[in-house]
Amino acid sequence: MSKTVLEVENLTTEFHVEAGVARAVDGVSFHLKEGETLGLVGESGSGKSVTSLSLMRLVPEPPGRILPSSKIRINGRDILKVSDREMQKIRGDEIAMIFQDPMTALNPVFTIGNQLSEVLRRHQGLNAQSARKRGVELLETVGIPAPKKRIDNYPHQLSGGMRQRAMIAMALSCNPKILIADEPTTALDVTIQAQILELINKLQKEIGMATILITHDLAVVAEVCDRVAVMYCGRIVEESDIFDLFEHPQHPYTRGLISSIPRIDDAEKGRGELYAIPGMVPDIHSLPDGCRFAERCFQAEARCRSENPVLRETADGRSVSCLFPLSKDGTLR
Amino acid sequence: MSDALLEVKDLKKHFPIKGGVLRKTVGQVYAVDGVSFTLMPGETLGLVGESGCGKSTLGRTIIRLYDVTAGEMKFQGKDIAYATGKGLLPVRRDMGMIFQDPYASLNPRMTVAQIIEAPMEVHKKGAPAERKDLIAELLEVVGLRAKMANRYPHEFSGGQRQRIGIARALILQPKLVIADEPVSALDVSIQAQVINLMMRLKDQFKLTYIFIAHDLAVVEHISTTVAVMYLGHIMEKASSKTLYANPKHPYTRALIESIPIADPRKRKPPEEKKTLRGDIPSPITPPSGCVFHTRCPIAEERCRVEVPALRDLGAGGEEHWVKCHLAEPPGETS
Repeated sequence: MSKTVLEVENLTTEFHVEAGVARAVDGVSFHLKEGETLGLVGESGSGKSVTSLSLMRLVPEPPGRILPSSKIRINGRDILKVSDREMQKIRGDEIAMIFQDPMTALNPVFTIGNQLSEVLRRHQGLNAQSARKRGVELLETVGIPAPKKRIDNYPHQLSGGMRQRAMIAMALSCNPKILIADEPTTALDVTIQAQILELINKLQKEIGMATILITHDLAVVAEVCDRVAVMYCGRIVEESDIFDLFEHPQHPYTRGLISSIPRIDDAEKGRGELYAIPGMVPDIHSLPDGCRFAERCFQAEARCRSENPVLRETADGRSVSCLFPLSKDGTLR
Repeated sequence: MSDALLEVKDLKKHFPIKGGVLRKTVGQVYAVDGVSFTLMPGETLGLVGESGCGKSTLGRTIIRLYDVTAGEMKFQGKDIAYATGKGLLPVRRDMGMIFQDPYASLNPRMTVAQIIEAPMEVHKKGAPAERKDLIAELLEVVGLRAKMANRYPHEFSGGQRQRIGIARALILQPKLVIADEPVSALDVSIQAQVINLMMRLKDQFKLTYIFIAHDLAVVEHISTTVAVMYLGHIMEKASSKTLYANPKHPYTRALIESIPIADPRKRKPPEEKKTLRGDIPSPITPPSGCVFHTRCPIAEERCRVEVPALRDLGAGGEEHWVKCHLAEPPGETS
């Protein structure tokens, strides 16, 4: 049994805005084991990105606020309790992040080398010369051709895929235990996406770090993740092993998501209507009582609209937050 | 074929790059560089390719948002490539366009009714009362409610805005609708709703679509014919079924291979994956010979020098156009 590196308990993050208090993440709990890849899936507004920012303690405060009842433990230590200075050390050394848009995440007025060596000098105490040498090595590891030349390039001189590689190099520079990848391939073309996913997978095996992959794309999750947590309106609605999830989704929302993807590998599925979840995600300022998915759910009953479903464990270490979880053949249990 | 809805022959669209103090032309972006195809009524042509392949430029050139650099274009038998002024009106009346970004493509200061009515005003169609009825009807058809007509775009979600954009594209009852990435800004669950709506409308109004998207799975689902573009060229074009089941161009193969499959049991071990190396070259300085040779896994010497022709390698009366020296007609081993 491998070690648990990250434990998130009852994470609740709010934003105090003009329209009121928006609870973007509402009591989220999950854990991450050494070397594992966890997919955090959800549509826009599901709270997946705020979850990742909370893990890095990068939620802007104010207007944001992580409630004191939340716990985020990295190797047993609650990072919500440490000082800002200590947190700076944890970021990079223990937990690192890559972002969706490498153009805005990199500083346009510094070279790649500058930005890479800043991390190395700060966190690993290297001098300028050895930081540069290590920087070239890192760029080589992430598959950037001619790294000695590229290290002196500015971000705009690199293509989107190269920039994402440079950002991965930066995130890996201090050998973190946990990598958070927030939509790392969403801005990239499909052939480049395949390259980057392959790279993350390969590096993960080599370094043995645990990864949280945040994405809206279930197909990407199916390609690379071991376990998946599906989020809806700030809550985890289902968590499961990747194979079980696709074979037998227990939450109606998960099943809806899986069925609404057009598939090229399934000729029999034909060209008829795609399954579409009716309606849309409710407004965060006026969330419905009870199950937040009830108004879009095909099997919701009166109870669903009043009773709040809790995330409870079902068989084989899976969890689902639904009063009427789906059985294997997709019918009511 | 005279009954074709749209015939495009060797169409080119280059954008000049201005530089220096005198803003002289210092180079060209070869966005669309010699594209030919025929579109029959009722067809849905999917245009796929990665960013910078020229698929959006092609769509915008067809509806004449851009001027044509060279080539020919016939729409319903009429030459439209170089039409100007009033000559363009029939083009724009019989073609509708749906844009990618539902936030940027609707004027925030106009109500939904005004937005949808605008094309009718331009083309002086219908009396005010008639227009009102038509707008109300169309709103219901695209899955909104008639009473929403007096609201403003910001009151709607992304999916609903895209429905408004679709209503606007359909108000003049066009023959051809060009949809440029109509679902890529939408969430998965909303994406399926809009795709279903577009397929339903096609049957209801007997539309012909040019569906531009980077998502090959979405394109496969909606299209009857698919054309794969790379650096301003069509590399392969065939019926959707044939193209995905039996891709002949190495680029198409690589693209299909790169699509993540939403089924973990079909995962391939890393060593079996054939991902393409490198990046897409700049359309300002496209490679010589076959534009794909810099990334092609099977490129030979001649691919570097000689530009391949778009050849029909179809079997059994079905067209299958491939722009590759090394693609072979059926029957011979490949």
